[in-house]
Formats: sequence, structure tokens, C-alpha cells
Amino acid sequence: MSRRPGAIALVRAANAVFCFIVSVYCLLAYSPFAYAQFIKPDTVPAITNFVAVSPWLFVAIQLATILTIMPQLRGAPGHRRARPYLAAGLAAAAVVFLRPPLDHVGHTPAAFAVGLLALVSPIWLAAIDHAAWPAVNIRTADAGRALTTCVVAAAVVWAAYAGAAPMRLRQMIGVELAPSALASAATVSLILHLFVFAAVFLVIVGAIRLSLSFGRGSVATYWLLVACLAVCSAAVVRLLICGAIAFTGRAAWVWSGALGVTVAAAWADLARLRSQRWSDVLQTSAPPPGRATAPGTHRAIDSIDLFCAPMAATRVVSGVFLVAMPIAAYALVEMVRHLDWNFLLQKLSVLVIWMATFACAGAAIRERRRRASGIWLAAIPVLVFGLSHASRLLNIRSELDRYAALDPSFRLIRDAQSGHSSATAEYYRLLRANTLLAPRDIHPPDVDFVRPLGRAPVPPPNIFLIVVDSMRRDYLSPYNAEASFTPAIARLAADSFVFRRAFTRYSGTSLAVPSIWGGGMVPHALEQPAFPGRNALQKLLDANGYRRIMDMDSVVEDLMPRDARLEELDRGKRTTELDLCATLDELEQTLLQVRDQPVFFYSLPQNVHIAIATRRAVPQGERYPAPFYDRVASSLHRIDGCLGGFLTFLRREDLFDNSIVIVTSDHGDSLGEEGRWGHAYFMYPEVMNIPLIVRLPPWLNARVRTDLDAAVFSTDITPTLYALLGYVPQDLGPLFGRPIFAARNDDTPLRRGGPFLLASSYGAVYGVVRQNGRRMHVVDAVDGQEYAFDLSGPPEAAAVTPAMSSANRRVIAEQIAALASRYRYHR
Amino acid sequence: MTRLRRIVDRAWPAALLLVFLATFRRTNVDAPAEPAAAGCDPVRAATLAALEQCLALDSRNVEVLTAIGDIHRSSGAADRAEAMYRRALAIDPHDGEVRLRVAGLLLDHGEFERARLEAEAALDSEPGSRVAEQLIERASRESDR
Repeated sequence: MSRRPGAIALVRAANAVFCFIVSVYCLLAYSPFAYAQFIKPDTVPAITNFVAVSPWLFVAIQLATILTIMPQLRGAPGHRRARPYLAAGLAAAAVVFLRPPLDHVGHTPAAFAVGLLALVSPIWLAAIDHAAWPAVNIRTADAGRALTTCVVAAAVVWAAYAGAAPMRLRQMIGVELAPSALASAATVSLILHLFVFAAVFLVIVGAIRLSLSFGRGSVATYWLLVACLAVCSAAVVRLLICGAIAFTGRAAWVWSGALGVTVAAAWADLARLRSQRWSDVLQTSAPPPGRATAPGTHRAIDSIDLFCAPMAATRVVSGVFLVAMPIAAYALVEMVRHLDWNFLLQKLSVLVIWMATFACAGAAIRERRRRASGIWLAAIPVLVFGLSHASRLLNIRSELDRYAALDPSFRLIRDAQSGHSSATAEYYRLLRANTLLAPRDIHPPDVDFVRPLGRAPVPPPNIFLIVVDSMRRDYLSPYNAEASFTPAIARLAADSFVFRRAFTRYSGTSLAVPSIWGGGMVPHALEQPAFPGRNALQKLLDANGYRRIMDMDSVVEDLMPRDARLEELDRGKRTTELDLCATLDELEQTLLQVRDQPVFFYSLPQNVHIAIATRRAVPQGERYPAPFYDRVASSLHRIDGCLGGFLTFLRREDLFDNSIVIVTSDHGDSLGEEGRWGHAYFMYPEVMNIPLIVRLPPWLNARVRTDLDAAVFSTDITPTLYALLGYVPQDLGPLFGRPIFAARNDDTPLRRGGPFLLASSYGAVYGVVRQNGRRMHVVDAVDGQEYAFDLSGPPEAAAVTPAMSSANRRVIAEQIAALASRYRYHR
Repeated sequence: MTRLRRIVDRAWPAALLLVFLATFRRTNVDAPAEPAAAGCDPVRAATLAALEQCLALDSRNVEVLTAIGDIHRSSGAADRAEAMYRRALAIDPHDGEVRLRVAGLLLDHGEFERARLEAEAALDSEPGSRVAEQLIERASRESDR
């Protein structure tokens, strides 16, 4: 062979990576959840950019691929597979240019079909290469060397992550571990890593022993390992990726299975191509590079060597890679952690490091002259097994929980370990059945706080409702004296009501925003059917002739019509481009023109959203002390200045004293607490506690009373506006909001005793707030965890007792049933 | 014997792997709920004994502490009531409801200045509260006498 298989392997790898990305994009588009969360609001610009350049990438890769199969197209072995591939490739290129599929698939079944079709190419090319390139001679793998490889790989992976743990501990918010506890947890981590790699060794040695039953056992070993790769890849995709984006059901299994088969096919293709260099060496009777020569065996390569060929290098290079592995592991985690989704990217990066370490360790370890005995081979896994079970006797569960925040590799194993009883599994099924419902299954009635709804008995004041996406309350001066970078909000708060125990009902925008407008919890569905009938806030505005001056972000545009009362701001901007400063500038211009009717303003600025704030550099000269995340703090400082300017404008234009100003957020955000970033499925205090600052006109201020220490919810905003306008909104029960102000002469208690349901917007994670907002209990059916917090003072994790768990699970089930009954769906 | 050895030799990795996989996951067995836990809502657990049982389970429950204080107060045990309210305030110093109760107790004891301070703190937490304003007014009036 005069062609260079190494270069061809590079083209194959590029093609496979491109096809995988296309397939994953199509999956994201097909999944209602991922489409609404990532694609529609353009949360990750890299995705949009990829779609734009994908036709050109496709053509470039196809051209390179065609060049690599030219001999086959001319009639060399494999031509029967190569020629149809060329025809199909040209047809696909024509389609891609005439009607780029990624631009058009949208959220349709076609996305699923295109996602599967994209996987055909790597499988087809693998078939061509297996016909075109000769197979190398394979000999039976040495189980002793496999054992050493696994033990070394486990130790290197463990050291790569455990070594960085002390450094992460210094940087991590909310994690404290004494050196002795850190050492104990790291030791348990080592044992668990040995356990996992011992299982890998058992798979390999099992494949070796099983293949002895077949003729050409060494070949069978290799193909068994490839089959194991397909199964493991499918399992990882289904459990990790599909699980993280709430993509479930038969379609998830089909896609995972297809991706697993494609990964294995692409891997086998690369192995075939890269092994050709050894084929040449073998033909000249030299041993494979870096391999010892056992008598009579050097004309063949080890089946494990062949399996590792796609990532293998020479012994020296592999050794260097092994030494550099901690740096690669650390860098990968740092690259993805800010934009991670429920630790998914970190876990995938860990799996890449595991594979690379295994391949490098395999290449770096010499074959022994004497083969290890079966007893010795079994002794090590048995010892590891014993150690792992002995480590369970150590009573360091909380230390291990905290250590998991420092060591992503340990977190991956620990999360995989978490199992649950059949009763818990049944309960999780109930939660999942009531989560991310299909709109067609919901038949919601209208929601009315006042019926019939006439004009308000008082002249309607202007209302400015500013809901800053992902704004945390402890980043605001009124809630945290150390947050000195929001002076304008501090000045507003001095003249306002600052609610200390405010909660969002949902930890994600897609449900938090409808719940604010509707004044209550909504069906757990990404598309809200018949929402105008439930849009209590819009009904109030319409009944009183309000002019709605607002952004139509990707959530509200599905909730309300663009009617004559709407004055849309930020026209043509994508949701991720909504900047409070620009919006307020435009609002000021609009307000100067609208003087004849009351005004309602709403905006959902994205300035402090993690996906936006991380792209903005902190201006020179600005410094934010730990634990504040400087990019978010700086963005907040900027919009604080703009808000201050706008309030000055209102005063200057004599609008301030006839305006209700509400500053709040749809939810908070995790900014590094215990390694968490963003909000995803997280229902932690920093996500569920929100700021709620309400400034009333003096004439209203004199008429009302409130309780700033009472638990209040974002769903209370709409009924509160009803009450402030002089209506008496009816109590619709604990799933709905109620006014947080009462008339001064009304002695009705403002506190509500009952437990209140909270939910994630994206998955089966539910919580309960009790004791006037002093306790929060969360049941996470996505990660199979249950946790609790004492919110009496600064949030603290609380132990989950069986009694608490039982009582709170019951409340969650009851309130979910009440929600189903209210909105007429049965699961 | 040779055949048996061959079977063992080929099967042990798979057998051991099965044991590994079967014991890898850690399942928490759901314990039955303690009957007292469900009744720890102060509205439901109306008797002193029930509330104290709740407090034993959750010593930082402000609502239970307040409810116990209320029972002591209505039975004339003002010192015990104040002790309970103080415990509640140690957990949540902003709780206006509890401060109002403390202010009422202090007023009954003739400690007008302390009562006024407590009522003012309650008014900070509950702006516009007529009860707090009346307590402040009464404490100031009594204090002036």
C-alpha cells in the first residue's frame, strides 16, 4: 500500500466527529426540552454558528473523504461499497446546498430522521475500509498486561483528579473539608477508581476467555471488545446525555443504540487504518513498536493493542501523555464548567480522560515474558472488591458528598452508584409522569382572580416589572451588605419593600415566566396551551386600558398576542441580546410619547445570565471580592447604573410617584457553589431564593401593610397587583399566589402556614417550602437524590431523615395531583 | 476434573463481573415514616405535648417554638413563653410576629421601653402593622406616665 493510512484515519475521524455533531444537533432540535432551552433562545451561539457553516464543512469533509477512497472508486477492493457511497455523498451534498437540513429541521420528526441518517456515513466508510485494507494478524491478548494496564490507568486517572482537589477546595464556594477528611475521601476515591477499572479488566479477560470458545479466538476477542464499546457508548448516551436533556422513551433508546453502533464502527475503522503501520512492520518480521518479543508471537499484534490503536502512540509518547494527563483533565473541566448542564460536560470529559489514559497506559506497559496465572489475575479484582465494600463501612458520607464537588471523576462514579428502592423508583415514575407534559394532554380552564373583571376602583398607576433573568438576591446590596456594587438598587430599596423570604416556584425561565403572568403554578409543559385564558396579569392590564410596553422574548411571545395595546421594545433582537440598558433607553423614548394612558413595562434582561455574563470581560479597574463571580457582579453593576438612570428619568418626568416599580428575577443561579454553575435541574437556595423589591406610589404606601419576613413567591406578583389596584382577588389555593399586601385596616394574617410546591422547569425535580420559607426539601428524580436546607439564616444543608422524606414526598404528590386536577390532565 | 477446571477457567471473569455489577449500586432502603413527623404542623399539633415532640425532632422550628410560647402565655407562664419566643428570635431575629408577642409580654410586665423597642423592630418587619403601631403608642404612653 502506497497510500498513507494515518492521513486517511484523520479524515475518517473528522468525518465521524462532524456526523456526531450533526446528529447531536438534530437530537437537540427534536427534543422539545432541548429545543426550547438551547436552540430557540439561541443560548449557545456556537450551535447557531455551526448550523451556518455546516454545509461548507460537509462539502469539505466529503471532498476529502472522496479523495481517500479514489483507489476503491477505480476498482480496488471495496469498490462495491465505495461507488454507492460516492453517489449517496453527491446526492447529500446537493440536498445540503439546495435546502440545508439543519436550517430547516426545526422541532419536527424530520430532525430525528436526519439525526439517524447523519450516522450512516461513518458506518459506511468503516465497511469500505474493512474491505479495502487488509486485516493485521492478531494474537491473544496477555491478561496480565491488561491487569497492569487497568491498575495503572485507575491510579493515573485518580491522581489526575485527586491531585487537583486541594486547589479546587481553595477556590470552591461552600465546600469545607479538613485535610484528614480530604485524605479519607481521596482514599475512597482511589478504591472506587480501582473498582471501576477492575470491572474493565474483567470485561477484557472475560472477552479473552469467552473467545477461546470460538475458532480464531484473538479475532473474536477484538470484536467482542468492539461490541462492548458499542454497548457502553449506547448506555452512556442514553443514561448520561439523554437523561440530562430529558429525552426519554423509545426514541431515546433508538438514537442511543444507533450512536453506540456508529461509535464502535468509527472506532473499528480507525483501528483498522492505524494498525496498517504495524502490518508493514510485521511483514518485515519486526515486532510492533514498543512491544517485547515473545517467541513466535511477534508476527501478530495483541488484540488489546489493536483495540487501542485509534489512540495509541509509542511507549515514550504514551508515557509523556500519561504524565500530562492531570493537566489535560484539569483544563477540560475548566473549559466546560461555566456552561455545563447538570455536570454533563464535565462527566463526558472524564470519560474521555478515562479512555485516553487506558490507551496510553496500554501502550506504555510492556508485555511480560511469563504469563500471569489465573489465581493472580482473580486475586487483584477480589482484593479491590473487598476494599470497596470495606470502605462503605467508613461513616464519611457527608465528606464524600463534599469531595464529589472537587473531583469530577469521583462524582461520575458516585452518581452512577446511586440506586434506589422499588418504592422510590415508583415515586420517581410518578414525578416523571407529571413532568414535561405534551400540550395536547392538557385541557386547562381559565384562571380568574376576579370575575367579572371591570375597571379598577382606583386610578391605575404605571407598573414597571423588571424580571432580571438569573439575578441572585445575594448579589444585591439590600440583601447582602457586602454587595456594594448595586448602589442604585440600594437607593430604590431604601424607599421600597424588600421581601426577605421570596421564592420562585420554578428554577427555570420557561415555567417561571408563565407562572408570574398567570399568578400561579402552571402545567409542567414547555408549551402552555390556552394560556390567554389563564393570563391573569394580561387580563388585569386589558381591563384597565394599560399600554403594554415590553420585550417579546422567546417565552412571552408564546404566551400573549402582539395586539394593538402592545408597544414592543427591542424589535428584531434575539432573547439572548436583551440588554436592560438598551431596553430602558428605548423605554424612556417611548414613555415621552405615551402620556395619555397607564403604562405597563415588562422586560426579561439577560445581562446576568451565565451564558451571557461569561462572554463579557470585566472592565479594567473593576474588582469584585470573592465569593462574588466577577463577570456576573460586573454585569449587575452595569445594569444597576442603567436602572438608577431610569429611576432618575421617572422622577424628572413626574412619573415616579405614580408608579409601582418591581425588581425581581425569574430564578437565581449557581455560581460555583459546590461546583455547580447555572441552574439546569438545580433546586438549591441560591437558585430558588429570589430578590423581590416593590416600590409603591406614596398614596398606595399609606394604605397598605405587609410582612417582609413572610414567605412570598413570584406567583404572588399578579394577585398583588390586583389588590393594589383595589380588587379583592379570590384565594385560589396553595398552588396560586395571593396578595403580599393587605389594607391597613384588614387584620387578616399575611403569613401562610402550608407547604408550597416548587419545581424545576426542565426535569422531574420537585421541592417543598415549609415553615414560612425556613425549610426547603427537594426530591430529584433526575439524579436520584434527596436533599434539604435550613433557610432560617444563611442557607445550610440539613440531614434528610426518613420522616422528613416521607412527609415531604407526600406533600409533593398531593400538590402534583392537585395541579393535575386543576389543569385537567391525568397521568 | 479437567473439564470442570476449563469451565471455571473460562467462566470466572464473567462471574466476578456479575458480582461487581450487582453490588456496585448503593440502594438506600426507605425507612418508615415516624408518626410524629407528619403532625409537626403547629396548626395540627395543638397540644403542648405534641408540639414538644415536634420540637424534639426539629429544635429550630420557629413556628413550633412560637406555638409553644403561645400556649405558655395563655396558661400564665409568661417567663416560659418569653424563653420560647427568645429562642425563636435567636433563630430568626427579623420575625415580626414573634417580636410583637415579646412586646406584648414586656408591656404586661411593665417594661415599657423594651416593649417599645420590640414593637418598633416588629414594625420594621411588618410595615403598616396596626398592631405594632398600637403597641408602640401604648408603650410610649405608659412610659411617659
